[in-house]
Amino acid sequence: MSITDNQRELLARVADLLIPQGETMPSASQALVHTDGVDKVFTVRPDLEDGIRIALDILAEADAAGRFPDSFDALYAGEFAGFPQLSEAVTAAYFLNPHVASAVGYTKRSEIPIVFDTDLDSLVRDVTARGPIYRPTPGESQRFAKAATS
Amino acid sequence: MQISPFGSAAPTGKVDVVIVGAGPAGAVAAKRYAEAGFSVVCLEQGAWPDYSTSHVADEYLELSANKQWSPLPSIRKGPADYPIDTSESDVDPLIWNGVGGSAVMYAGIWMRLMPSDFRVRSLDGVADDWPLSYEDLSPFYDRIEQDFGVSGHPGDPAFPDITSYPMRPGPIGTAGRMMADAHNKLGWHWWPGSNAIATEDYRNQGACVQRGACMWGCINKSKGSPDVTHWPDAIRLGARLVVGATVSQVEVNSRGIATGVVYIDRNGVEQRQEADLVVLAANGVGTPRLLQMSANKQFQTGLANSSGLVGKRLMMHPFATVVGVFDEQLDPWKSVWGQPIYSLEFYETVRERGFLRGAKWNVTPTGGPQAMAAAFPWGGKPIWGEEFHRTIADRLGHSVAWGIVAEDLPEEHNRIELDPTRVDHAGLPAAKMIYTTSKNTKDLLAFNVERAIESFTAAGAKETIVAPMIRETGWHILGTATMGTDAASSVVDQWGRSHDIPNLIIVDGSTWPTSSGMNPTPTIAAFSLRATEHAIEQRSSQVVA
Repeated sequence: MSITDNQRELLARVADLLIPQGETMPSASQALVHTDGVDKVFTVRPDLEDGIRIALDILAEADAAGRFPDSFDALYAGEFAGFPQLSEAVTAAYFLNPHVASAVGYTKRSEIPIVFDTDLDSLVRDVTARGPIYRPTPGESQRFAKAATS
Repeated sequence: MQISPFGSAAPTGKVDVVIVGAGPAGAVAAKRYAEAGFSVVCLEQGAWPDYSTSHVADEYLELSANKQWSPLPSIRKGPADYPIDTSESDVDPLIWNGVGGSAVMYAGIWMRLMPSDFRVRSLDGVADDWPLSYEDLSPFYDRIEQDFGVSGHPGDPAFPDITSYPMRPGPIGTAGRMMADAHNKLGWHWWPGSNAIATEDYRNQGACVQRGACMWGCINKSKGSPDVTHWPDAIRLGARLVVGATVSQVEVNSRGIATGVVYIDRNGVEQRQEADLVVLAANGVGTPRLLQMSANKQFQTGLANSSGLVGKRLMMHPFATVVGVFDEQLDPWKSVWGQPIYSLEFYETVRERGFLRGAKWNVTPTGGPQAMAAAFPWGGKPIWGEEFHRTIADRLGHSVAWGIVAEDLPEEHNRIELDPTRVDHAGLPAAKMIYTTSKNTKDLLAFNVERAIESFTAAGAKETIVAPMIRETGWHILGTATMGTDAASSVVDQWGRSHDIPNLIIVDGSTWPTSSGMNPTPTIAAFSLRATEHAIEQRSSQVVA
């Protein structure tokens, strides 16, 4: 199941309201959110399709009536059904674009072998110097001390 | 043939112990009973976690985190996720129904309770003392930390006796160092994070590779969840784990002795598992629900409920988040997720603050690019439109949060009931959660939020953002079958044993008289181990059907 070419054209327009072109960043449609991007999203999140279709139907009606929003603020003010799914899919699709991912410095989580901190004792010196900060169990405060000396 | 301590045959037919729920409490009990030679059957309504569906190693991580690996059963809608009506609750519960329980999706944050958590009535004059002390539980914490593969830095002066951890802690990272420096400057407590995350190859766990994705399907099996740490060993020891088994009733005989449980198997067929001991480990919703569903002519208000407290005193740990945005590049997702550092500066009661008890803080990463556009924790106006690129550049890799866990005191009107209008996939009554956040908890959170802003300011944050209070914070569900010494005012004793039914034992977080302000899994597991060892010691005098 997917969306039609007409719906993709509408998706490109509304996606550019969400993510317009920046100084160094492409717009949503330039990042192919409405084609490759949304198709990738649907492979993992088919549950978003129905909401997106509902949103696009509403926007198609608005477009036919000459009321297609001309800004994100105008779009958001409409509070239309399917916006949560549409905005999630557009945002995800945008950052799935390899050029966008590279530009923002986030592609996917990579493996980073652990290198242990070697200075923790010195970092916590101030904390330990202030001494215990817990309230001991009434009547039990000597149990550990006794155990330590027995 | 295994020789049974109670003389019953294993593994078929009547067993020594039937356990309901395969999360941390049930897994700890199952393994220990099996080690002691008991015949054990554990019934789990969910399935094993399917790590093949995990996206932690590919670019779809954030998408899957919002659906398949969501902690919200109402979003995930897995086959074992029973409906919970939260229309009268301030908070939605976050539960994983399956082998490993909600530890499959926890961050692995590992905190013992402090001594005062067991003595709230004695020290602060409210709620109740636990019938056991920190000192009673301490040796079991030591053992549980070995079993869950905990990494940490010993010597925290917030505790009397943490002298070692099985492994060294993961790196505290740039963000952790920044906040540690700020707290050193302020003279406030902080400590390197303790986490059930293996930092080297350890028993069944692989060494963490710092994908920062612990909650969405740890494919390295570094995180200490019982499907990794306990069940393979428990099964090898002879415990039988039945998945897809939805328990509908605990059965008792005319003498009020439990005889076993009835369950619906994965094929929808009703089955009966007889046992000498019935152990409940179905969490703060599932356990009271099962006791309520088990009502009969003899126990008309539910099993183990002569006190009238089954389902009541629900505590939920309302949660606050404050975000700091910095000029510095932090890349906080390139780490263990868990908690790089924590602070207990504001944990103990200071009456002058105008509320009782306190909160625990932990540094938490804010996530990848999709998380930068989410309503939580950022709040306010959506970021899309002309400000999108600037806002992403400001936040992504430059932000970190304090997560604040508030102690929630018990109140009887906060409760779990059976939902008279809905049923689950097996036709059993759904649960209804009725919960209102108290004024004390709200005041406590407000105070801690202000202090967290001060913490970020001291660290040099260019912006601090207080996350809006949201419903989806019910990680910790506690108190609904409270323990105590008096049968008139508690459901179980300090060993989890029902005051009413001598061979019914509850080992999960529903037993907690007070909630503490800590992540509860270590204490749930330690309590389960202690209760189980007591039952093993008492085997010769155990009353059975």
